[in-house]
This record gives sequence, structure tokens and C-alpha cells, in this order.
Amino acid sequence: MTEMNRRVAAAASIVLLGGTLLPGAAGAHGEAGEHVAEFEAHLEDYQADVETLSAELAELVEGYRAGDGAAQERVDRLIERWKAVEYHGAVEEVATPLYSPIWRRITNLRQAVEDGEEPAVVERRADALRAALHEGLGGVKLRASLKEAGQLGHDDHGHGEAEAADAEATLQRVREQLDEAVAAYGRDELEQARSLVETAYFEGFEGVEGSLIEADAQLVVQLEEAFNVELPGLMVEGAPTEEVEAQVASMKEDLVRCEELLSEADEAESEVF
Amino acid sequence: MVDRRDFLKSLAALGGLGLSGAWGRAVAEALAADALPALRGDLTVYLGRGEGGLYKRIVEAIRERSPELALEIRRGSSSGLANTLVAEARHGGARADLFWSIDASSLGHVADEGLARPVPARLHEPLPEAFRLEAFVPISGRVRSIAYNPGRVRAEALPERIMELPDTDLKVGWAPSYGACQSFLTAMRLLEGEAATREWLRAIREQSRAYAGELGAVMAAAQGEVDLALANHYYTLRLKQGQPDIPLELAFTRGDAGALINTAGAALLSDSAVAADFVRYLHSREVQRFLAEQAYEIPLVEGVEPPAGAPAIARLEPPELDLTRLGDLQPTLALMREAGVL
Repeated sequence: MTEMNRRVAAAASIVLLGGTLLPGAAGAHGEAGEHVAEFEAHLEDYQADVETLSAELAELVEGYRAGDGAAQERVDRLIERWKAVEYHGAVEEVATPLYSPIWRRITNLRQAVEDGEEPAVVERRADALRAALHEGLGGVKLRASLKEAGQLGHDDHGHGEAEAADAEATLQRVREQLDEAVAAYGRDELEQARSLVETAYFEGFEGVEGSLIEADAQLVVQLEEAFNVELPGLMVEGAPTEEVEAQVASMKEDLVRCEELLSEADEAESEVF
Repeated sequence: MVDRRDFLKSLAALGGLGLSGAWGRAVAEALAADALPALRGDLTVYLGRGEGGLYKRIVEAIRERSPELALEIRRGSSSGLANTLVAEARHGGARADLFWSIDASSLGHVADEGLARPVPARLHEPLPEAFRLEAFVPISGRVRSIAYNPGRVRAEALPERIMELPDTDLKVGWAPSYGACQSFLTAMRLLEGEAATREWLRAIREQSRAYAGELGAVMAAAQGEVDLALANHYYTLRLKQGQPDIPLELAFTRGDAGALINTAGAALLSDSAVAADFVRYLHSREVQRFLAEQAYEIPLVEGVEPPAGAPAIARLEPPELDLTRLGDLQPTLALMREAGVL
């Protein structure tokens, strides 16, 4: 397993443990394919699918850089391939929370090509898509290991404890994305780093801040500023990586405190019906 | 013109009456869940993540009471799921029957792509006329508000029209990078035009302080850093819930973007009867009460009280605006950049 794969698999595990999981279920529209019922036996096939898609992405970027004029066609082909491969059904049904991000990044890539963006932009979006594909694969593999260990229970359908752990899992994912942002910053991938910080805030923290306001409004304001001003500011200024790391470490401490507060709030939850 | 103080007093007196009056009456009151048909069959819901998982709790509660319902849920950010739906539709057909999203702009995006089915008349029945939309079914509301510190600003010193704010010497806190603020400015652009909005933005830039989030702006008003904050209503309600003595009050402009009511809503994406019935559960008394109590959202159906501490929403005067148009954000962002506020 490469370092990248290890990193994305770890990220996937956090999303999956808290998200809505439908292991081995056939899709409502019956499009997932029979292999999904025994997805743990098809991991090599899925791996091959991801490698094929990654290779097509590399060709697309290379062709775009060379100005071969076939980028749009290659994007269409990539989408058709993505829809056709078995991996598509697996990530959709087994690692559901990681499915939408793949489509989003496909859309972003397509948009960049349609808009005739600079090759560097197309390359970054292709990299983001590749990372999402690997993250999905990591998620499917994690599910397979849990299934083999007999650790997939009823909670995996989104009931009971898994639901109660939802906010906690979201905050864990936020911390993981901050780590990924620091790593991207360290590799001089500023746009990717900032995008990860934005995603962590808008798709993670913002969704859980509501009940935190009643418990500790100042803590929420502090984190809002850290996510939206301080951390992006350091990155744009080109601050030393150590400084960015220190900022993230401080934010992660605050996020742990948020988790504690949310856990206390969970105990006072009321019923819908 | 009604004096602002009298207006605010009348709002307080009318609190808890539910929606009516200015928005047109609903045909019917909200039903209790027990009065609704049981849900049976297959249903795939795309659920825009919102309010700390409260929406998911509602969906799971409906699942629990519907043993014959084969419910699949896909969760994600509202904008992300809207993009997914559009991508799926372009490349092989949408897979969802229903999209429940926290904001109207993502629903508008899906509707603009022709994915939303017309809303059946029976889903309009518990809604006031103003919320009987064709493209999606509004479920609950969030109101733009002026949060002010009564120790620093008298209610009568506040403008009744948002466009009059630059005519005052009040210092404004706001969060222009926030989606809710950008929706409000989009409403202003659509209602008042680009030139007036540009002028307003330039003026406000001179008398405002920008915060990273709307909560920060509202807290700044309470702490006296600014005179007032432009923000959604629930920040003030949540703060008052956690700190009952915090010096904050809510005020609303009248008939303009400053009183915009944005809604969470559900778009029907297939002809599934169970999808439409599912929406009726979202309009049930129990779900609407849960949203009001737990998320501080404004119930949109007749017969359910607004959240504790909420203003008398029955007499609010939101602008006449097709909410699906709030998805048209790019021209707003261009104006904001031009005016130097973004």
C-alpha cells in the first residue's frame, strides 16, 4: 500500500464509521451488481478499476497539457468508464458517504476542462479526483476487513449508536481533513490545502455547530475564525509549515472540546414522534 | 406607516399564532403523524446534511415507525448532493426519489436542471400561499434579521427598509463570505437591481466590520463591538437559550431582502407516491415541532408554534421572491468583489 493509499484509507475509515452505511445491500434501483453482495471477494477487481481510472486521468492531464484537443472527449470517456466499472457499485453501496465526493470531483474536473482552465488547474482537479477514488477504495477495503472480522452489525444501517456517534464522526473527519490540508501545504499544493480547509468547515464543522452555540458560543466563534480567517491566512501568506501545524494543532484541541460538549448534549436529545 | 416601536410591540403580542395573514392562509392545518397514511415500498432519499444531524434523526424516526418502508438514504452537503444529482442525471439517470436539502439554492439548482417533478396540490395544503411552489416543497424556514443590543441601540433607530441602512450611522457586523449572507444579497440584487445593490454594498463597506461567521457578528453586537448584526434569526435564539441574559434582540425589515425567508425544502425527483407521502410526514405536527424546538427553524405549516423566543413570524413581511432564483449566485459574487466586500 502506498503512503497515499494509507492516508486516504485512514480518512475513509473515519467517514465510514460514522456515516450512513449500506453494506452489501442491493440498490433501490437494482444497478449495483451482484458482486456487491460479496464485495470482500472482489477487492482486487476494484483495485484494478481504480488503477484503470487513474491511468485514464493521467492520460487526460497529459493530453490537456499537450493541447491535443481531446480533453472533453476523454472526460466523457472517463465518466462512462466510472459508471461501468464494478468499483462504482461497490463504493456506492458499501462506502456510501464516499460516493458523492467522487461525483463532485468529476464535475469539478469536467468544469475545468470546459472552461479551458490552465493545465495546472486541471491537474490539481484530476489529483483531487484520484484521491477521492482511492479514498472510496480504502472505505470498501475497511468494510471488507470489518465484515471478515464479524464486526458489521445492525448499527451499520444508521440506527442506534452509529447515529449517536454521527457528530463525533463528523468532527473526527474534520480533524483528519485538517491533517490532510497540512500535508498538502507541505507539498506546496496551496489550492488543495485551502480546499480541504473549506471542505472541513462547510461540510463538517458548520453542520454540527448549532447545538454547540448554546453550550459554548465563544468556542464556536473561535473555530469559525480559525477555519475561515486564521488558517487560510497563514497559508496564503506562505507561513512556515511549523506555524500552520501549530495552528491546526490548536484547532484540533478545540474540536476535541466540541466533541465533549456534543456528547453531553446527546444525552438530552428529545424524540421526534 | 406603523411606528417601529408599535410594530415590534404588536409582533410580541401576536407571537405564537402561526403563519397566516400577510402570506395567505393555508388550506388545512398540519396533521398529526398518526393521521397520515403508512409508508410502504421503496424510497431513496438524498439528504443534504443539516443542523448537526437533526434531519437524519427525523428520517430515522420515520423509518422506525414505517416497517414496510424500504428506505435508502444518501447523505452529503446540500450543494454536493445537488451536483451529484445533476451529474447522475446527465450520465444515466437520477437515482433518488426525493432530495431534502437545507437550502433553497441547491433545490433551485436541481430544479433548473429539470430534475424536479411538479409538486402535487395536496402537499401545498398545509402551507401558506406564499410557499406553494412548483419546484419544491418548503419544509421549514430561516429568516434574515437584524440582531441588535438594546443597551446600545433603540428599536426605533433601526431602519424599516434594508436599503435605508446606509443612511444611518449604525455600525454593522456581518459575514459576507457566508452563504446565508450571499443569498440575502442575491435577493437584494433580484429585488432592487444591480446598481442599487452595488451602491448599498459600497456604502455598507464603509460602516461595517466583517466577521468570519454570522455567529461572530451577532456576538459582536452583544459585546458592543458593533451596533447591529445582519444574520439569520437562529443565532440570536441559540445564544439567548444558552445565555438568557445576553443583551440581544431581533428586528426585521419589511418587504425586502432584509426580511428574506429562506427555506429548507424537498424536491420530488420521481413519480413515487411514497416520496410525496414522505413529505407529508415532514409537514406533520411532530416533525415541525421538532424542527422548531431543536433547530430553531420556523415552522411553515399552519397550527405549529414558532421556536421559543422567536418573533411573531405571523406578521413578518418577507419579500415576494421566487426562492429557486437564489441559486443564481455568480452575479452576486461578482458585485461583491467589485464593491470590495469579498
